[in-house]
Amino acid sequence: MDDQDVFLKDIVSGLNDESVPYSFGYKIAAKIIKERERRERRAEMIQISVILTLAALLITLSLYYINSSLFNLSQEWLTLEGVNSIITHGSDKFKMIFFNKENIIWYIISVNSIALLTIERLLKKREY
Amino acid sequence: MKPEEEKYIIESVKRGDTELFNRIVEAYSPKILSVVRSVISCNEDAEEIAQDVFVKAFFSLGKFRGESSLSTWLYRIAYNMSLSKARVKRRSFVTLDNIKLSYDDHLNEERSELIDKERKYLILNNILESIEPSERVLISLFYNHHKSIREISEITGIGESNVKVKLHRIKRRLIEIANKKMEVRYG
Repeated sequence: MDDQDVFLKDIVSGLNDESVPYSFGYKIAAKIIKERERRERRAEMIQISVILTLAALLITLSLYYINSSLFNLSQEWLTLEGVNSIITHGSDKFKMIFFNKENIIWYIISVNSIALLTIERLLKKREY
Repeated sequence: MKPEEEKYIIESVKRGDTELFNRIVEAYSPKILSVVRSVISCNEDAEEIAQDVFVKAFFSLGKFRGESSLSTWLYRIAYNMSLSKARVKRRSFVTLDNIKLSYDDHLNEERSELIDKERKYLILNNILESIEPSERVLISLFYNHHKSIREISEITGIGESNVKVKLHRIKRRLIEIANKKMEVRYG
């Protein structure tokens, strides 16, 4: 190192402050915990949003399918007469759709799905 | 910290043993704080950024592939984060508290007789303030942290030849500024 380097080192040594404040480590740990919680909340929100979007899509498609195959409601029905007609004929349609031997298998599938979901939730709660 | 110890700690933290991360914090806090302080004048801001460096390192450990040393990787995070902050918040001035000076020996004897300690602090303060934060950190990595050109290149992402050129220019400028300051003051 020549004289210039020594002189420069002297100037730059003013930048070399390695002192560590007392609670430095604790503050880092607290920030890590906070950040971890924020990330978990964000992941949960994303998960819920995706599930809700898929559920909404499924319900919409189901309703569309039910309407096109069973009710055939159109925009014309969105009048007072149309609503009255739905109420009058609706109960017959309701009975036809829901109290039908062919639909029993769907009831079994639905009940099983609900039962499985409920069991899964209960087991998850027990885990925590 | 030995490389084997570092490797063990990194693997443990990746597997979920987060307590061991404290060892990394303890080992590297002084150096990281020094690097950040060379860019950011305000002590509180510098400490905040240094804390954020370690938080970022903790959550990015999964991506750390060991191609560079842990030290270089941490320095790189500190370098990038402190320069981003410096761009947002212009450095005001280096306070006297932040400067630790040793000397008289290397200055011209005639001048050193005239200069008292406080004026010297201010002059050096001024000299350091005359260069950009990115230049300050480069020169600090070279002189204070004893990093090689290759290591500085890895930390900053600047090519090795570019680092050499920049360091040479910064040194020349610092000498020029220092001489000018001394002349202006003392004729």
